[in-house]
Amino acid sequence: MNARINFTAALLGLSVLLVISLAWVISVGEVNIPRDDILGVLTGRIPSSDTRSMIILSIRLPRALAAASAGAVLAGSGVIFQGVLLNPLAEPYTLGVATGAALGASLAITLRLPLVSVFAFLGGISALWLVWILGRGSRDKASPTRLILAGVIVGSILGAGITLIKALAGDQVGIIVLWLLGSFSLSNWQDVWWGSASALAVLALGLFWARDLDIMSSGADAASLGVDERKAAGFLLLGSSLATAVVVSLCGIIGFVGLVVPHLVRILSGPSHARLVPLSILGGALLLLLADATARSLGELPVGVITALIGGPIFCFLLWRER
Amino acid sequence: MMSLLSLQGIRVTLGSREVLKGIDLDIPSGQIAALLGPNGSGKSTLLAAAAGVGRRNAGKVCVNGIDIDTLSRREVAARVAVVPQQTGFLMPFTVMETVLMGRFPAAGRFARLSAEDHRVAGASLEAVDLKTFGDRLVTDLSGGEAQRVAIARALAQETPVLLLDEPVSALDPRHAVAVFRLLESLRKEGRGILVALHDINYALRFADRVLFLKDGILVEPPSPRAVDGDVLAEIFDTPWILEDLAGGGRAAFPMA
Repeated sequence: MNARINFTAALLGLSVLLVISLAWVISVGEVNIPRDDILGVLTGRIPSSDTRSMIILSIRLPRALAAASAGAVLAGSGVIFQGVLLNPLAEPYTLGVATGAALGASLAITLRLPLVSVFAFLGGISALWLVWILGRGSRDKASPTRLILAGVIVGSILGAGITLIKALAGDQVGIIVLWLLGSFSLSNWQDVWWGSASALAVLALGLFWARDLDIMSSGADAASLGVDERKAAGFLLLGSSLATAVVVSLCGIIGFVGLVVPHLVRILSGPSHARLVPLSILGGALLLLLADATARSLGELPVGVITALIGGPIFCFLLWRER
Repeated sequence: MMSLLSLQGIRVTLGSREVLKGIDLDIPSGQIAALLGPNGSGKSTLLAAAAGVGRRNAGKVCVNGIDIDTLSRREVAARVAVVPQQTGFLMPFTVMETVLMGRFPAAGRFARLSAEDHRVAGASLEAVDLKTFGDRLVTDLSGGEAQRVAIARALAQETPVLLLDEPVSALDPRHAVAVFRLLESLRKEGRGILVALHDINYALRFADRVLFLKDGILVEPPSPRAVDGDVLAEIFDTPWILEDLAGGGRAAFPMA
């Protein structure tokens, strides 16, 4: 069986779908704004002082774009983690990177420190380092099972740390809880810029190292095919951890996007990273955009609940299919 | 004769065991050297060290007189290709995509794969009798087919040095002999070939040199003709019988 969809068609299709979804997402909400008015806001026909402009430009659009860019980062990072670590279950969530980032950020929030993102990154990268040390087998290559096991254990310990911080946080506990649940309800344009920059970074990283990723993920001895594994893995893991940490510090922990999207895209387009990375990034953006819209329309549910409810069953199906 | 591949004083310690105790080996262009030895004697370790990918505690590897430690990974992979013992294909890449990975050292990161890259990959597939397999997924192949894909990928690297780690272990006799015929044609092109084998008979029939690895030391009889029952008994700790065949070759059988 080798039926792969055309890459250009998939890229175009996903982009169109993303734009349509974006248009739809910013057109729904508590306040009913007709389509003509939305167009008016976007083209500047309606002045920015108008309420409709404020709703679209300060609330709905940044929220939608932040969600999309976060989804792009999570899915793109998932592809990179899976490729480098030869592990279909690897993603920021299962590797403890997201939890580490959350711990770092919780600590920063509790202590009222500035630069929450930096602490999120330090937390994420430390978690990844710990998982890597524990998870790699006796040889130089990380063993897939050990790695996920290490990710789960490190994730649990860090999760306990977060709970402890929450217990000790005093009046900051509300912010932490809200933030940990994963939400875009407070997203602003600054979040959009950070998210988009991270998404672009993941895209650039994935495309720059696409051939190295292909060789590493194929199961070949990558070094004998000319891949400088240490350098490639270092750049890729550090880069995608950094991007993940930025996203975690923007919107909290959101699982399953980095797991489900790459798997679905791989089935459709094959495992080549020159296709897998851009398509997963678009797919992740689409998924989280729609998941957030769903969360919003159900009365501000945590978006992580929605992604788990959508992504979990999809992943179960994929597992069942690959038996 | 200038040696193409030169190993000097290769030492490798794995855990507390010194697997290779100072290996010196020169392989000139246009030669097939067979490497034999009991399980765990360090054949794969030696091949990995020679490719610059495995652990090496001491010693130097030179290709055409250039120390590979002074080269980048890509530059080494443009000179030395490896056919691994385990193909280990994990992801559903197509056979053609997999063989094209052999072009990475030549093509680099950004250059689009050229018509030449595709031609070389196609020719490599044809050389291992998998011409029509280009669109198949490597994860759907039999063990023998996968092994031939790995050989084709190494051929696509177009390197002067070829290292093969038991390349015919999963192949039926017809395809195994075809692989050795292929190695013979590569020898004619001037490649230097080091191939680890378990079957002494392929070595006696196709190799210019037969090397034995035992207890971390390389032992080489003066010529393949000089390989006799005593040498084999010493290396493999089991009695052997060698028979002259009607066609002029020899066949060896363990008698244990």
